[in-house]
Amino acid sequence: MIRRLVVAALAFLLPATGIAACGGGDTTLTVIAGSELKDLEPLLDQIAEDTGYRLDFTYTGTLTGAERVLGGEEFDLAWFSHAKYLELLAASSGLVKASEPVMLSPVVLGVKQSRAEQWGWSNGAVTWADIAARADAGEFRFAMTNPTASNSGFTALIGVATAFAGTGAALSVTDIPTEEMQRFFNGLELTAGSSGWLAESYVESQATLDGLVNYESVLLSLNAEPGLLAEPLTLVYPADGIVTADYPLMLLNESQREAHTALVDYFRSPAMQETIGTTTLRRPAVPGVNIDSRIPDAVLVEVPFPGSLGVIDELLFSYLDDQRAPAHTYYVLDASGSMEGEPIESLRIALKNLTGLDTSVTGQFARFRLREEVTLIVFSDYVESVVDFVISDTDPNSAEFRRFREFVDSGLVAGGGTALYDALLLAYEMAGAAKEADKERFYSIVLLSDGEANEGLDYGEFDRAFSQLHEDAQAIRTFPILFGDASDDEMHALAELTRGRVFDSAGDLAKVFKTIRGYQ
Amino acid sequence: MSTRTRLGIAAVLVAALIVVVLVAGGTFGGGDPVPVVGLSGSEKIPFFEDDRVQAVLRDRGFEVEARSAGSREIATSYDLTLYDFAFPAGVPAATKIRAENSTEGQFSTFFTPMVIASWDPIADLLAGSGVARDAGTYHVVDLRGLVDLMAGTESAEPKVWTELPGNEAGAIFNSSRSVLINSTDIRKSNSAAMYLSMVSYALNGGAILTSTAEADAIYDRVEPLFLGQGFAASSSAGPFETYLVRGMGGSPMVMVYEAQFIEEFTKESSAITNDMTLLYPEPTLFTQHTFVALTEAGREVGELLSSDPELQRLAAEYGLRTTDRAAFEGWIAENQVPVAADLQDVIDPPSYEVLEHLIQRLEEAYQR
Repeated sequence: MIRRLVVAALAFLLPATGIAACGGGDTTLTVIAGSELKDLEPLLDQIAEDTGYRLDFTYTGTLTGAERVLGGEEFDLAWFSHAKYLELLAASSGLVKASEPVMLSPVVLGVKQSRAEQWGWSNGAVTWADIAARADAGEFRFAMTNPTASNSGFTALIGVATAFAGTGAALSVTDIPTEEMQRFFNGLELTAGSSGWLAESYVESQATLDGLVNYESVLLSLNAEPGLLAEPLTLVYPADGIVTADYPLMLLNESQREAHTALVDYFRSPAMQETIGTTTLRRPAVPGVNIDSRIPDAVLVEVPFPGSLGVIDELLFSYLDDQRAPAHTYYVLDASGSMEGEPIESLRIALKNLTGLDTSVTGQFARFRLREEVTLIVFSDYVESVVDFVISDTDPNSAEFRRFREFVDSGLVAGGGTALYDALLLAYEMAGAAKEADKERFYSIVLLSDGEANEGLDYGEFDRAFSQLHEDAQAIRTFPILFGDASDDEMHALAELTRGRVFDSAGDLAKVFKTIRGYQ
Repeated sequence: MSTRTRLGIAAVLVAALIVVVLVAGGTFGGGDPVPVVGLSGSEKIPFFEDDRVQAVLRDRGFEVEARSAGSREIATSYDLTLYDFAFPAGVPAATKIRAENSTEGQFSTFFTPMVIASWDPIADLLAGSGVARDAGTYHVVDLRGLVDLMAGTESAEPKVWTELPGNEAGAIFNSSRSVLINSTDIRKSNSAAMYLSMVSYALNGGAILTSTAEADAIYDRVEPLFLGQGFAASSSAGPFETYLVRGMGGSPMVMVYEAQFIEEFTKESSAITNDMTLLYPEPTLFTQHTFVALTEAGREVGELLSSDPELQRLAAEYGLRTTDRAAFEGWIAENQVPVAADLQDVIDPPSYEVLEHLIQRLEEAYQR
């Protein structure tokens, strides 16, 4: 009796004293989240102050996130731009205990204003077919994230495919519109594993691109920042339909149900909905809240989202195997003496995983895909070997995958020095020549070394040689991996020089090789 | 405010409360309210969260917490031994729960008709196709005619919006999507099962299905109406919220409970706008919110919900119809809610076995 009365008395006190009465400080909740939620970081202190809950975000991609949740990694909450893939994947597992949408942002097209005006896209009813025609003709060159790695690309892929299928209903396995998709993706010039990096890369490469696919909120934010874009983006909402992300906050840890309810109520309160709107340019998820005036007010036709995992997987594989331009990736691999033992063995595993040995959700999409070409360049004191592989069968036991694994097991032997830049320059010369011969591929270079260059060219000499390369070759990005004693400074300089991105292996080469697949 | 002051105030308040309790003598007379936890269709959560409802229940001796779950999901995805009650939005889900769990009785509480939340331009298009008519503050839609537009007939293909008369080139609603009603996930939620009941009646030539053989005969025309929707929300609050927030482009027609619309309409900051309208299917179907008690405490709460006049009156404020007809009609009239007070043409769902047979076939189709 007395205890209940104390609780009742405290309840009276709460409004007066605020959250401080909640037991002397914040409760920290772990949240596995899509990287697109980084723009909420400026609000985290306020959220903690208002609710007593501090959100500790671990950022990840769509499929990786779904896989980590399903794999039993313990988080209190999950928060992605949309969770339909996770919900379909986890349908019978009961892992998602509750889920409430918090904010909305459609995935649309940002097109350079001059182009949009020239093509009559500024105020007309543009369809995905109009866009695909310009892309196929080489007039519309755009950036979009890899649908197997990032939510914005994933969402866009579903919207485009459903619109092209033209059935008016949700996509089914039998009506994936491969040819129309190929035409559309002929304009894809830049891809990435993360929406945020894609937007940054668009800014860097805006001179050679005409637009990008991303969240409405990201596109509006690019426009809003003074001096960022040489030319503002016109937002295009194709009339045959788009998909809107609804950012559901999901409860994973049953014992934090109260916290989840409190946070959902807080985020969905009208005041917070407006704050989110002004901070992130997303739309409210709750009826009766004003939409930020910078967001266009128009009827958005939403395509139905597929209702089965089978359709989505089929579409993702079709994207990789048939629709996108095939990749040609050059792996520049260090086999110097310091790689002896554990490092070279982990490199072997990381490479072999890409031939179908990794059977996880993310592993199956990270596998080398049909039509793809892979060149391994192995170096120590000098370039030891250059081996090409062409993928025409994705069965893990296919002859080409077996040949790949045999080479990795026998051809990667540690010993000698580190002629890193000689090998990298060779990769550029080869990739440049290949690109001149076949422009329809997507070329990139992965560089793995566990130490600093001590043979052949140094960084400065490479830099000079690089500047002499054909511009097609210079446009090829390098993704250096931080591993062992590799030089942080030089790897970052390389990424900047080639407009690539540095990946920190954090000791886990298998994981980082998989992540980089999203950028190839 | 320092900690010391706060504790001081707490002590004073506790003391004051004890005095109040002693003086009032018996407000808490029956001892602590018994905590009762249950699973409910999402549409009734706002009712349970209403302070006045909580106060009545507390006064009767219960501290009730209702958690949101899809009605059918309650039967399929939860460990019901952890709960005192299950409160699905319809009889079929309740039957499934009773068939698979040991229960302490079942109570009919509230009921509400299935309606289509839609928009004036859409209603006009349907009227132009000869399947809807303006009934003043709402619209009436011919169920069989509408289902024929969506599912096709022997002589006509299923329609997309831009194929409807008067909407060529998207003059009124520029959407090349199929004419479809958005419902919840048929595998998880009651409102979709009620929708399926209506669809099956229409496709069965205007007769309630009486056997699984009859169900199989119409199945091929049923499937696209559900699978064509794609991903669907697991509980009825989802599609209605999408309708309110995202507008006509994403939600031209949404199957909802009438009560959801009434509740939103009478809210202080209602999101119902002038261009929104309800389409009453003719015939329609009432869903019976059915309370399944899983424990003795649950049973007592079920009795209260089905008979307590105060709770019945509060339910009317959430748009729910009860045995107290006057309460509902009074609330509608007082708030000028644009709904049909009296519905004559009403059908029943098919038997549990027949409906479940159709749901399971759809479930298998989703796996393909």
